[in-house]
Amino acid sequence: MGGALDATDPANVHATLVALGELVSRAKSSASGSSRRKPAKSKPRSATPRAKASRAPARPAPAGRKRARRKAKDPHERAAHLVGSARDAGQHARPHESPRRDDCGRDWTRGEVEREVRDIVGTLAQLPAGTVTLATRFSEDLDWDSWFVLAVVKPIARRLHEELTDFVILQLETVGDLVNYVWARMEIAA
Amino acid sequence: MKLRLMLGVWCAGSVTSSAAADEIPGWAWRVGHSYSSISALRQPATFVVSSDLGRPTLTVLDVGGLVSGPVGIHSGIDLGARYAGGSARGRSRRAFDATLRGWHRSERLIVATNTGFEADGGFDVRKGTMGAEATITHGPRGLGQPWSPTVRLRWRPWIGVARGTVFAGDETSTDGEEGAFWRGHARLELHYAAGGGASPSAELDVEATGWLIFDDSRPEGFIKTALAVPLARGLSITASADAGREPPRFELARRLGIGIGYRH
Repeated sequence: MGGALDATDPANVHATLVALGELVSRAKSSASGSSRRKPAKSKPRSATPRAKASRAPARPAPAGRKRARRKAKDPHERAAHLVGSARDAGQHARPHESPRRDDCGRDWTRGEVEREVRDIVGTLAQLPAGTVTLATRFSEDLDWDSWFVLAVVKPIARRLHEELTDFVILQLETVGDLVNYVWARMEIAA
Repeated sequence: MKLRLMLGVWCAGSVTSSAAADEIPGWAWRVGHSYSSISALRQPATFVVSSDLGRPTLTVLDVGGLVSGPVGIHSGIDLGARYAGGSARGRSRRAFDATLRGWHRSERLIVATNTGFEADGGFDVRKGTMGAEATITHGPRGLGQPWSPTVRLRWRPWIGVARGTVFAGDETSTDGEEGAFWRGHARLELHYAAGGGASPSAELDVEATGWLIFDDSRPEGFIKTALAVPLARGLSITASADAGREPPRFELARRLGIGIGYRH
């Protein structure tokens, strides 16, 4: 889907300029007290030539979100909180959500990310297209064992250019959780 | 039960402390999970009560717990413990083992290195091991995922080797391990879900492990099966059976029972 990284590609040069502009605006906003989410600790240093902007939140964070996170005790529930809930993803479509950018500088809409992830999961599960939904559960519906879920990492890195943390994936329950995780890893496109 | 309580307390603490972490969940805990220890159990933790007229009530308890956390992008760490006991088992046939394990995934291979401790019920035989085992995430048909949409049978192989030390032995023990020893193992996990849809009517788990004790040049094997009919919230009615010889004593055991199972 996304092209190979090329520093001479005008699109990448444009992305670099956009990211630099965003850094400047970030510096300004941080000086004025604006708080933006820090990049994930596990995020590997990108090989992209452009400067990295900060990670986007999984969804617009309400004021009481931090408190809600502390209340979540179940690891799956926490993972869902942290990367966004599958139920939210399925029930509250966000067509107006601004596009996000993968590590190679390609912009994606949420619908495109959903489609790619569902296609990847469907291919691994050898299921016909359209069978996999956001509510599909890896363990109960697909009957995958714990380690098999990690098979999604490579195709997601190849097609969506996002490197995911294995341990987080092991905590995810549904395809919607995975979509939210990938979406949260992407940056808000300028 | 004490073990579960301790794990629960520890997990609650770690969850609280890590809840503010940015994107990566801190720690997770599992009971009766597929990688609950190096002597892994996919089967649910089971508690069996057996009572006959004129005989004492007997119990059988098999439980494995695991606390796991992240280490880097493609690695993790597990701390697990397993106990097989109950009054239906003789003291020497009860087993306890604990393991600290780190795993790393590269492409399709998962390699786990572990340090373990194993003992019999009376702690008369105690051994420590350090070893490694490996499996692949996916590949051949049925590995980690159903054989087909209609045949929900999956399997996973593990192969490994361990170097161990006998901390304490027992003259009556039939195991061939003395002093420092090498032990190789191969394990096959099978899972079958009967009934279609997301809620299977029954689940069958089989775990067969074979050990090769290098010093004694003899193989040992142990097979454990559990047929669980899910009730709710991880609980199930479980019929379990096991047969063979397993560490630390490698004493012959055969058992069949039905009871309550739990998996989280």
